[in-house]
Amino acid sequence: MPTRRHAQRNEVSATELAEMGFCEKRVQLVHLYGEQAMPEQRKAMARGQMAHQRYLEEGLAATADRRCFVATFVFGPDARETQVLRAYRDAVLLRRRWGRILVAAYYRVAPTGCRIMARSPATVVRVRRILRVVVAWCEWALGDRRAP
Amino acid sequence: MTWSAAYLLASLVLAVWLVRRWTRLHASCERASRPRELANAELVYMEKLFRIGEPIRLVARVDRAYRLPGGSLVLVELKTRKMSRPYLSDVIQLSAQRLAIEMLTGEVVEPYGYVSVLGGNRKMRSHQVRLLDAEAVVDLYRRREAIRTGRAPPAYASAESACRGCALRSRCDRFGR
Repeated sequence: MPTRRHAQRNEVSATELAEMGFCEKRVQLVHLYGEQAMPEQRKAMARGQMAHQRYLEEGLAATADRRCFVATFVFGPDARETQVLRAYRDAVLLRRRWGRILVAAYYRVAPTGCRIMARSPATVVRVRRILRVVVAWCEWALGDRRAP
Repeated sequence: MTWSAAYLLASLVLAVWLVRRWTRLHASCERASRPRELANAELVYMEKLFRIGEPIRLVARVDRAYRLPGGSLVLVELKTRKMSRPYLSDVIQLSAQRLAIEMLTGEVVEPYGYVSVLGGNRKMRSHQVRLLDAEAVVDLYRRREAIRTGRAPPAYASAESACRGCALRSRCDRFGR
């Protein structure tokens, strides 16, 4: 079906052009008789679509992970402290299974924490103090990892 | 007392099951699936469609594109197959994507890309491939048009084994039909 849609507009998709690298004769036959697939090929295509969906979801989750809720709330999105915590998350936590679990659990509770802090400026001051210690430790840990 | 213990046990089992399920779902995050060489790159495009009218009418959907610290883009194409190896068709697909992105956005796309193959064992392996230049993609487009309109004789698949699973085999003259 996509083949016909593209053909009407004299447009080719990258996938259709890629068929040229597999079998040119097949390209000609598809043009003459339309796309046909064996049952196994249909199953493989369905598996491929599912894998692509998962691949996309992983990518979307990763781009959403740029947020660092509490640090962003306390220090600001571009503050040095926020950058350090993000770097620690990417370089250390996300590379370990337990770390990924910890990050995901944190993302579940962090928005609630931010809502509480929004109502209490005194809490923000206390959290900022605690986070500065955490940031210093993360900085030390990152520096230690980068050292030869 | 017995009912309380049963509820507690059931809750515990449910909690363990949920944690295991969640862990399995999130074990393979995006960082784990990206090629090692792109560890410091930023993921900028996912399943994004690029459409151009010049030099050819082409539409390309990019699985993933990463931006290197230098600013250029690197393309990654996901494939599911038993054999963990890239094919010429993968190279053509990535090359067409490269042409579409460069023409549409003016951004620099590296002349290499990655084919990430998800095998039957659910393990992903990425292969670096060198891409065709824009001229080669345009030539291929023209050859495709020539084959479809009968102006050029088509070539067959390089390996006869590739024909075994072809649904159009009965209409193909390769085997003297």
